[in-house]
Amino acid sequence: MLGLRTSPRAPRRVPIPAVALCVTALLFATTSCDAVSWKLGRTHGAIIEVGAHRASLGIYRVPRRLLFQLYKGGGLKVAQDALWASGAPPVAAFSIDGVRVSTEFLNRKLHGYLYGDPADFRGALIDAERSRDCLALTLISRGLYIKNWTHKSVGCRMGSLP
Amino acid sequence: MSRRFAWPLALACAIALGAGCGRGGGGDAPSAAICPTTSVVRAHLLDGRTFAELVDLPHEDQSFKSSAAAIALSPARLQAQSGPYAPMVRYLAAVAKDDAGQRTEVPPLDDSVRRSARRLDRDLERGLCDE
Repeated sequence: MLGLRTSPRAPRRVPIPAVALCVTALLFATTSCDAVSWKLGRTHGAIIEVGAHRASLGIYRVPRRLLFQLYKGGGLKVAQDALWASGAPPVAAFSIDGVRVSTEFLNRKLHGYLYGDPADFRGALIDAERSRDCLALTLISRGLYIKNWTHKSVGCRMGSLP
Repeated sequence: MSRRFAWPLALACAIALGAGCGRGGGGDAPSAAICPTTSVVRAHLLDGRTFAELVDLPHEDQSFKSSAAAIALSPARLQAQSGPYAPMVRYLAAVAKDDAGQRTEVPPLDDSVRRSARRLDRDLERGLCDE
């Protein structure tokens, strides 16, 4: 009969370019729209000192200088508030000797680290500016969790703000 | 999925995602994303000035430097979601980054920057960031 198929239907395939376009769009949407400000690699870095069994979260030189500018212009509380207001804590994870710091760990602890010991934070910020280093928060040392604001030149880089 | 629908679906997917992504930066709706940073700036750094007055201050002014630094610390979120205030946010952030030693192209201080600063002042006055 006219119009009836007589041969078996060939399996239809999804066009590869169409799938590629969709995947690209998804990737674009999930990366360029990223609303997290403090992301490891852009403003922060993990500074690992293997010999000392020490691991720190480093705040690169550009954001450190901005923090110092805030400290100079408005005082320590302004620098702390601006850092806290600037978004989610950094997306970071590092470990040394089996002791691990994860993003979730930082999420829970960062407010305390930032506000808990103002003198420690201020001293490290001033020293970091003076030495043109990164401001650093040491969280693991010799296999133990600690909290120590300091400054580092090794493993520190400029970091850029998008 | 049939071949006939695959391409239109993929195109629709791309357009929809692109539109959703762009909406945050270019929209004209007041955006509360700017509130955490502006709260710090208003409380501690403006010295009673408005944002419209701030953008016209010399770059060496301490109030200008500190306010710009606070805004530059949260650029990704602010620039993506600052809506009508984006020209002011971009301008202040660029000046601060340039001052901090990052090679940055600083946009000119033009009418769009001043207009967006005035818009922010007006929206703050109307309670944009009030709890």
